[in-house]
Amino acid sequence: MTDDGTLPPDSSSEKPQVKTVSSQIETLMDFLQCFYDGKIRSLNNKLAQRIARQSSLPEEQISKLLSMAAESDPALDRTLSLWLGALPIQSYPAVRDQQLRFAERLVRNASPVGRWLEGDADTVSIRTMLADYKQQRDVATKAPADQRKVLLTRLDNGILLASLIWSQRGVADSILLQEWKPLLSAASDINGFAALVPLIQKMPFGKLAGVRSLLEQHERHSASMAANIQRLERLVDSQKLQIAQLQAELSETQQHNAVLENNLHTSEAALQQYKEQARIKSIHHTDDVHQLQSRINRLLQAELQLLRDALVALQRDPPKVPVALDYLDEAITNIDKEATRLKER
Amino acid sequence: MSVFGFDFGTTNSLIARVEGERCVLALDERGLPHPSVLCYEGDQVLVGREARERMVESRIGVSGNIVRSPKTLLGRHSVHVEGVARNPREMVGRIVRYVAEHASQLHPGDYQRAVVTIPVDMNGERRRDLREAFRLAGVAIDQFVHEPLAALYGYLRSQPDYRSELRRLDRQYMVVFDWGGGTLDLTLCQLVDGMLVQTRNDGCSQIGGDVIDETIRNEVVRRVITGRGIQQEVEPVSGAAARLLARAERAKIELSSRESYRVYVPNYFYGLDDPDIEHTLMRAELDAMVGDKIQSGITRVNALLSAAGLVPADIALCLATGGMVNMPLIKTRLYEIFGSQRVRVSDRGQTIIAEGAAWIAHDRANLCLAKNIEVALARGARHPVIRAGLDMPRQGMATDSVRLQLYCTDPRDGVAKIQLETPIRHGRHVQKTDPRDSLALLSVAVDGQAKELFERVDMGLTIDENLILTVEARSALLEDKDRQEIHTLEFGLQVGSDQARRKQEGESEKHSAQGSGKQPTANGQVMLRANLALHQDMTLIPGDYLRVVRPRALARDSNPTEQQIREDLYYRPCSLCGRRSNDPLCRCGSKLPPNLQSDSIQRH
Repeated sequence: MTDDGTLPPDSSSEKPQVKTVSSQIETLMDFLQCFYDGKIRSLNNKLAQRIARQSSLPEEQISKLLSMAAESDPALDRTLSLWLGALPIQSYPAVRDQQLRFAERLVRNASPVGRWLEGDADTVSIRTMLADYKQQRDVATKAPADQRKVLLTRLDNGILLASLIWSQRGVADSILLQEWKPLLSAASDINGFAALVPLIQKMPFGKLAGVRSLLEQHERHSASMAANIQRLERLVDSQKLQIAQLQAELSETQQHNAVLENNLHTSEAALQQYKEQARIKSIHHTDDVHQLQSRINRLLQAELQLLRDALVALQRDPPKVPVALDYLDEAITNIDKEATRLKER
Repeated sequence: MSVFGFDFGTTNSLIARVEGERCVLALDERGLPHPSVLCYEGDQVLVGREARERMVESRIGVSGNIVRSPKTLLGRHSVHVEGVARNPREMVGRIVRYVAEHASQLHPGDYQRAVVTIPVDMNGERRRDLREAFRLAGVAIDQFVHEPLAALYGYLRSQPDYRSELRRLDRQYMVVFDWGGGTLDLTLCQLVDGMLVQTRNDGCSQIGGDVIDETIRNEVVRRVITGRGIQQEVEPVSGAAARLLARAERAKIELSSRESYRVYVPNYFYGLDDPDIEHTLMRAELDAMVGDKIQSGITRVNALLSAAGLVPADIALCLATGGMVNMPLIKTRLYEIFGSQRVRVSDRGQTIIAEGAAWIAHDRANLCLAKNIEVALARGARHPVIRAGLDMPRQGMATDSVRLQLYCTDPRDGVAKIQLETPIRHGRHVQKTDPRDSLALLSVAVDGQAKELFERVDMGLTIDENLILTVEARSALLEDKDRQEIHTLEFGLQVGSDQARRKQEGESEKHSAQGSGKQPTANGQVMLRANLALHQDMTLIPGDYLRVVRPRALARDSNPTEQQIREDLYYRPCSLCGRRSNDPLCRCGSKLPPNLQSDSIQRH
């Protein structure tokens, strides 16, 4: 920016034009038109001196200028800049007052900022204004992305302008600060607080000792949060490492589990096989015993009958000795054969 | 579910099962099979050995309150035992339950599914009754198998290397000589196409071991009475006849190793001073007593071979089994016929059939059809409808129904005759000149006015779990039906593992068989028309079938053949009255156009 507040020249061809813009400004009206057109960004003492003589703003031209300014400054950036730029030119109260008055009218027309300026210094509720600001900001955050930034900037600039205007109207800085404190406390997250910091610094109470300590507290809080973030990042890294280790262990355990499961299946199959073999052995054993039992039983039944018949033959009168001898011999031979066979088993 | 073997024999019954490559038997307390005997004593029914001990006669069937071999009574609705009507299936069921319960007590396990042995001559009706009797006893028959095949399989399976023994016996003849207590059964078997088949059977129930024992007993009594000069009528003391029978059986065994045996039964005669029977029986005497019976049994072997056109030298193996084959006389005679190398006398004569059944159950050896089943076509041609080697259905199953469509070559007599035949030769490879046996003759009414090869007969064949072949025939137009059950199919036992190969061969043979049409001439017979074509030719499709699958092909602009139009019209009912072609009651038809008119077709 040049000394007289015009835009910096980008090329040699534009240089005469810039000079022309500054030299063309003769009245406050000219300045405001150029200012809201974007041709000039500030009013310095030199230029203020020149337009001090014609600083009045005719009412019939103000409305046209207001509509033009409202259109070209939707975010109230330039209006805030106009307000702040007016404050240093203390030597030209006529210009400064006109400038502030114009800015105030412009702000009063802006929605929703205009309603924050209703009432007077005795009846104003800064708290209500701030609550409305907070509510409007919440609404603006949900607006479409292409409009959100403008809306949020408009609200921030609007609350700042409203606070400055109320300060100008005579509301004490201490009261303003007192009303702002709940808003600060409510901005618990670091980002919300960080967004408020530039606003606070621009506030009429921005230079107060309490604000400074608040900002220092904010810095400490930011540093603490940054440290916390670092600590948490380290913790996350550590957790990630642990997770990797646990995953490796899990994989190893799963492999081990698979081996164990395989062993279990093998063991179960072997057990089943042993059980089956035991069952078969038991059946074979029972069969062997049954065969032997039945064989002995059959032999004894048959030979017992022979012995009975031999006994009856001996009991006859006269005794039938040859029959008895034959049968006894046969029975003994058969029993002897079986006994030999059993011994040889 | 494990399957066990059940030998439900005429004389004895026995359960066997294979456990760990060893056959385990459920013999009774004396180490013998359970006698197939029932004794009704009031409300009490004795079964097995207890009932057998009350028997004094070896007669099969009902004797007083005793029923021996109730299996032989199957097929009857009821028999009277001491005046009470009893169902043979229930009797059989009692024995089966008794034997199964005993087996379950001896060797606990699952006894719900069995391979059951049956005699060769047991027809389908009796097989059905036997299955029902087993079902009453809580045992499902998984498969039937013939007793000689089971015996042979049991013997082969007991060989150390039975597969090489099977290879050795491939296409060889074998004789199963089963001379048991009740009957003498002779079976000529052959290993054909991987299956054991029975080529010829012979049997006799008049010379069973029990009959021979009775002969010895009666002869001993007669000789004692003659020797002691007893003139009056004498009766044996109660129970003495059974004791003498046991002694006679022992004498029969002892005389195989001795020259003489003293038969002594005290207290035999009732009312005599000396009530004892004492007689020394010489081996020569025994031979004289039973020699003619044994000779008649041995003679049957030669008769069997002669009937089959064989000589003893053609026999690769003679398996002698049953209680009687331990008689030296019988062994000697068998050795004389076949030579000692080819005769195998089983030392497990009373159990080998049950063991065979158990091995069949264990190996899942399938029973299969032993001979082709053919339908006789006009001019002596034959078409094999079911091929030999087809696996027989197991419990609760039936073979897939075989369907065949035949054409009546000459319907003038109004009857289509369908004859089913089976070749004498076993196996699938049968020559055209081989002689055939007739299995069944079916006849269905056909439209006598129909032109030749117009009237069709649908035939369906299926074999059920009782190995009964059911044949159904139905004329397509008159819808006359005939149905017959054939109970006398012959079966083989699958012992090889070449089923897949056989099935493949069967498929290709089936196609080639259907592809060969026969020329019709014989009056009233049927013929098979080929249903294969070399290329896609719509004119080869019968008109009535074309109506079903592609009706537009019968439109004039599609140029159907005259034959197709006739067939379509013939099988299409009258569109006005719905009656069939040539129905005399149909008065609403108009004649065919002159170029399509025939004496047998009216167009509606």
